[in-house]
Amino acid sequence: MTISSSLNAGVAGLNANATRLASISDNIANSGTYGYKRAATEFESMVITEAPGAGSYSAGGVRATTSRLIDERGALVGTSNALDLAISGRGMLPVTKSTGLNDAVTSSTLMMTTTGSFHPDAAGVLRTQSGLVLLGWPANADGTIPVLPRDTITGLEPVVVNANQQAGDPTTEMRLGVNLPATATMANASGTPLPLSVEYFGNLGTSDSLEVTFTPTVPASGASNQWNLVIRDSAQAGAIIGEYNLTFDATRGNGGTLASVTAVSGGAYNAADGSLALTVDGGPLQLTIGKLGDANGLTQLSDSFAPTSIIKNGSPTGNLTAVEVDENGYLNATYDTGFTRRLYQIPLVDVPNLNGLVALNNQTYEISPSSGSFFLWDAGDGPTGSVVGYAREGSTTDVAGELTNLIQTQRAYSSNAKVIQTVDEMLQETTNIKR
Amino acid sequence: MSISSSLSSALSGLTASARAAELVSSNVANAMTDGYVRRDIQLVARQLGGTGQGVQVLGVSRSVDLVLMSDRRIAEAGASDRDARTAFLSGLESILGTSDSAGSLSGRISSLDSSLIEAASRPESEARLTNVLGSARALVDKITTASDAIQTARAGADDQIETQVNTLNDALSKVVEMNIQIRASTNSGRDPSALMDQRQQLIDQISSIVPLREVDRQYGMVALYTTGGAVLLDGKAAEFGFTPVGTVTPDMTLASGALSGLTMNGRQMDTGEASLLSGGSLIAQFAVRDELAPAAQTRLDALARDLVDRFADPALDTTLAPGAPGLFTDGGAAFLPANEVGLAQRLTLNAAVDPKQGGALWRLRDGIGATAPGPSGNSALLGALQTALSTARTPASGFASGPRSFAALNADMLSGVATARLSADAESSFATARASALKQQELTNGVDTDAEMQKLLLIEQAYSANARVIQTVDDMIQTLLGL
Repeated sequence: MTISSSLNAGVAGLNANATRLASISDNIANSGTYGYKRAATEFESMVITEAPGAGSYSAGGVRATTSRLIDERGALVGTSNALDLAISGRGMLPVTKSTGLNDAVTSSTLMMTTTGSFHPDAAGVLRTQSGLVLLGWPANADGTIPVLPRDTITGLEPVVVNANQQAGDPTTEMRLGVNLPATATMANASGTPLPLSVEYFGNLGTSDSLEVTFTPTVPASGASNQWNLVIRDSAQAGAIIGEYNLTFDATRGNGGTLASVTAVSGGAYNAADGSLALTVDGGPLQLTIGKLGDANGLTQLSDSFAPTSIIKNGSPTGNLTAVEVDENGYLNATYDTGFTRRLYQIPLVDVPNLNGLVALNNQTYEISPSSGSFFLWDAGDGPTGSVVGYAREGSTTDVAGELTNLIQTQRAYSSNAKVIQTVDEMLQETTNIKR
Repeated sequence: MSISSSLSSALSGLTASARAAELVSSNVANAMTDGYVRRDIQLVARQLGGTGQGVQVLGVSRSVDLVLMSDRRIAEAGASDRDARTAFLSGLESILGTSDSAGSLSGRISSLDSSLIEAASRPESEARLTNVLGSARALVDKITTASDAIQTARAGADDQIETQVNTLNDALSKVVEMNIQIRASTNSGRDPSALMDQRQQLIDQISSIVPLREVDRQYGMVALYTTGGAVLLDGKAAEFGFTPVGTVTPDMTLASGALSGLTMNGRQMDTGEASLLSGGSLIAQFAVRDELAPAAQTRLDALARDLVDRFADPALDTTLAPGAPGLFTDGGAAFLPANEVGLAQRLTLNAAVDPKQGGALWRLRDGIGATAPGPSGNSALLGALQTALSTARTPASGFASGPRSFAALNADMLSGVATARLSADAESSFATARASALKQQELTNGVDTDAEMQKLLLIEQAYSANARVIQTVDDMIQTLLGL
């Protein structure tokens, strides 16, 4: 009967609007929750009378379906914690529950989130207040990331940062930019050797030095423009690790640059890159003295000894001062001596249908059959965006929009209630026909 | 939601303004602090995920003019180098005294001369002979005092070198520590400006000892080189070594090994003008100890030798046995040319003429080797002694050849000292003027309180504007809730 179908439709309308009210209230309640994705309620009509032109019409009513709009992205909000991570673009951070930390990471325990505020706990594990643990691929000792399968989570491990971790960084390259005094190779010069001590760092973070001595060749007349370069290593009790004869150019175009380098002992001079292949106590060390004719390495000009441009890599043993995640998802540790080391790579998880993910507590999501299978991307590669530190992703709720929806919902609810009241009155009329 | 991002932008603006005000207050408070360098805030627009999110404090910059600072340091080193030399030369000049003062060396020579003339006119007068003895003793005293003073100056220079080497070692090791702290501060995101100011003061301390160049290294560290090219500090500090001696005598020299040289990391360094460390007060003290003072001593010794030689001639005083000392002696004995070094310090009067030492005054009149007094009216020897003093004679050593009287020889020495002092004075005043001009110029780059106040006004405005944005956002939310 048509009239009772109206009553049913009215009740269905009340139900649907109540569902919508629930989603609005949830959205407003979470308007300040970082990483919250808005829930949207859609109404779908139900049809009972399918034949067109039938004499009577039965109201089918309405049905509400609620979905979470996970692909919507909230605005990023700046913070002061380096490990407040958010993603600028598509992709999610892989996390797991801290309760299952000791179990092997499996597909079923993988969870995803778009933002999180991570802090190391007592054991150095990076986790949020809500108990989520960040996952990443550990780097090798030299900072490279091993090749791992990207469609399973084998290889992902909880990220652990030890605050009292120390690390050394040996010197492997050094560049000498030294000007030798041309006057010292002229006749009647004193022939005093010029000393130079350059610090380098050994494999164990120890501080050693290369003792370099430049001895001019003083001729009987004129200028020789020749020097004898002797390099000693303090780590080997001052043993000579290289001796070279240097001749400088005195022609107009190349005046003062290296004209020839002859090795007396020690590693050979490589004319292509202007370096000496020395072997210090800890291993090879490449000492660049400049190519022949190059004005940037060793030069011999005027009367001043100026060893001011000495550049080297390596640093002494340092203490960990900061851990930061760069935009490519590499987790780098910075030590107080200035060098940085890559500890982990945080991949970004992406699935074909983001809105098909199962939403869990704490703004986390889980793979479901409708989301499709996941793939682990390097941040910034493929469809994924970059990882942003010092930032959280704000809620996608728009309070103004939700309040507007609230007004609409209230009106719709009242209208449905009015329909029920009207049907009730009509049925009363029908009942009143028989007295 | 864009309203909440306006709020966070306005909040970042408030934070930045507050930080800027903090820097202005620190600048103004340190307007009178020596070695303080004005700080400026460095702001940058904050970007998060490609959209603007307010403002971010990138850091604090110290506005220091490195070129000017390095010039000023080198000029100060030059000034202290010149000052040390001038101080020695003017000290020497005042000990010898200028010819117009009675107590000076020249005054004493002329009083010996006049007392000899007076005694020759009345050789029997005991008073006049006593006068001759007194004048001769005064002359000897003056020469030995001058020689002592020169050696004291050398010992003082030796002490100074020790003090400066210690200061240098201490300051360098502190700079290494500061470097490490600054590196740690820089790498953990703290502001190292105050540490950098302290380090600058430390480097200023040693920049007058050795002229140095400061070279920036990564993470806010610095390396120090002397202008000559010695590495004072690059990562590790150089270690300087020096062994002081208590007393310095004329025969102690650097070359003989009795005085210590300077070592750097255990390696012996040249300490002359060609040294890698020259141009500051350290090498100036070496110059005083090893060059200026020994040169003055050599001249004084030559002067003393001339004096001894003039009176030791047996032809002058026939009573003298061959090889016996004359009126002036080398510590009581006859002078041997091999012992010239330090003669000025050992110069004494012959005991035979000094009643206090068992001698007799009449020997001045009758001959130092005389056994009994002769006729009291004999003035031949006294006249000959006066002639010996004023006769032109070629000095045996130390001076340019050419016959001169003893007074003229002394005048030669004095004018040499005065000329050296005058030219050192001129160089010193030039170096000081240059250093103070550069210092003045550096101070004008310091804190300008007017500019800071003007900056403070702008900061106040920015702060109120940001607060107003927050208020407006609040009003907007109120409007929304009033619907």
